[in-house]
Amino acid sequence: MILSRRTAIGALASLALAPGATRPARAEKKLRVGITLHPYYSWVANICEDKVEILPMIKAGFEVHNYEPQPDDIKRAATMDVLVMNGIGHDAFALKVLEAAEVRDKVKLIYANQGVALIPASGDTGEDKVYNPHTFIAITAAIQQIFNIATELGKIDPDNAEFYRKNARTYAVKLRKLKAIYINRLAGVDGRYLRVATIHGGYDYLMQEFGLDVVAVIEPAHGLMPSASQLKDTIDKIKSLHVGVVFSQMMFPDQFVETIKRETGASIYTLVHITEGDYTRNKFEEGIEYDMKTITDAVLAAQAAGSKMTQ
Amino acid sequence: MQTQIVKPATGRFEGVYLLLVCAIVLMVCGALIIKRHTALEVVNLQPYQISAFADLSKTEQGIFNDLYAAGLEIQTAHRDSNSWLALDELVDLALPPFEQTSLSQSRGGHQWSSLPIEAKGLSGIGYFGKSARVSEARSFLLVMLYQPPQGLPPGARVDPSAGLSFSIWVNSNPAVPAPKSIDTAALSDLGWKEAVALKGDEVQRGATQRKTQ
Repeated sequence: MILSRRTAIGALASLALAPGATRPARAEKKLRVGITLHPYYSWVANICEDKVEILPMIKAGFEVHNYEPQPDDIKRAATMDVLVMNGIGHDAFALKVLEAAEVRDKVKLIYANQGVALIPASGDTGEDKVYNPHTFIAITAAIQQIFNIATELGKIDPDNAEFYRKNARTYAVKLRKLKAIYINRLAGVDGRYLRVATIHGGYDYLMQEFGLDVVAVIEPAHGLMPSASQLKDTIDKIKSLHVGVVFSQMMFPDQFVETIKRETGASIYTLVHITEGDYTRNKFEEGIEYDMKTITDAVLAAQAAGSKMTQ
Repeated sequence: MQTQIVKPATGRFEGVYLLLVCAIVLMVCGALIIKRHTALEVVNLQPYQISAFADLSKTEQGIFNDLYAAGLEIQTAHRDSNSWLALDELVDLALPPFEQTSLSQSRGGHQWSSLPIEAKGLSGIGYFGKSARVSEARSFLLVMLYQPPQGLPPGARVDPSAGLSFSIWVNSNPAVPAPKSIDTAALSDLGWKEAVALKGDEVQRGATQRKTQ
């Protein structure tokens, strides 16, 4: 018998919610806040500290770009009171999981990007620009979302609203000061003339904060690997646009990176997408600092080499 | 002798059946597409507005996003203290674009000043950033407003965000003076355009197109 994916998810949910199944007793009645992506874990942890219990929708080790719901995920989703989600990309699966767990109407949704100003995806030169959903790999867009999350959680949990708001402000200052360290590394360097390409279209918001212009994105579509002919087109594009630096990312296969490096002579640096590994309170800060350090290293190295900075 | 006439295998009926099946498939698919069709919401822009998403340069989008995040934070501070942050407080908080950094110098070199706004039943402040080089980025104005909610029943829980709003304006005149009034008509007459963001909630609603009315 062949079961459709939806039927299978429904069946798993039924198992998860079968009568008689007991939930572990809670020592303290805390708001159970679900999150879809790693940065949201860090943000909620910093806003709420121990006032809430944070439940990642996806277990550590799964990759969001090709995630398939697992039975444990549906079981966990059934216990959530609130779900914080990106809502504009990367976590469309969350609503399906809530539906499968039969709690879609019960769980309050916080769309972190509500009211957040979006920017067009780089490399898109068409008249109808496409928005970039990676607002979680940046400082400024992160701060906008942190305030949104704090405000919305405050509405759901008014007793702690002031606590959340205060923590959001403190966290925002901390993140801005972290960014200031790396902005100041580039004092006296005008990065506007450095031509930059990225393998994945996820870093536009962060590059914008450093005044860098992404002239090309290598992957043919979000999360897809290029074919041989697409890779050749990309190499031609990098050469014709005089791209000096290419930012790859951890998940991208080495053979593609090596080919691009060999054929174009561009310097290659690796960034992190902040959606892998364990969920921790400091995950976002560690990931974004790694990316900011890598970006500023690349700009300073390009300046030192004097290459392609003044095209 | 018995004669049997064998008709040529034209496949006429099979062809008709196949066409029928194709027609049914097309009708079913067409009906499903029509049933699932949702109209794309179009957000209309007023003549004094421009789209921050489509009409600002990449450099200006960077400043716009910094101001947008600053607007949210200034609102949060106002909720706690019922006062607006002064310019030096914004600099102390390392709040871009008010803090002078190498980046701000390469993005138009804006010089910021604050403009208190007083009106009946309204409190507000304008943060005016005059561009040193409009070719890099135009001048910006962040207008923060607070109008206390009226007519609430006694004991009603007040939404902490109620009454707070902000808007961001741009001006391409290299000699633009600090505005004396922040009402829409006065700003529009001086060449200011309100930059309106494409926001995450609009994307969720499918409002990914904008047009000028």
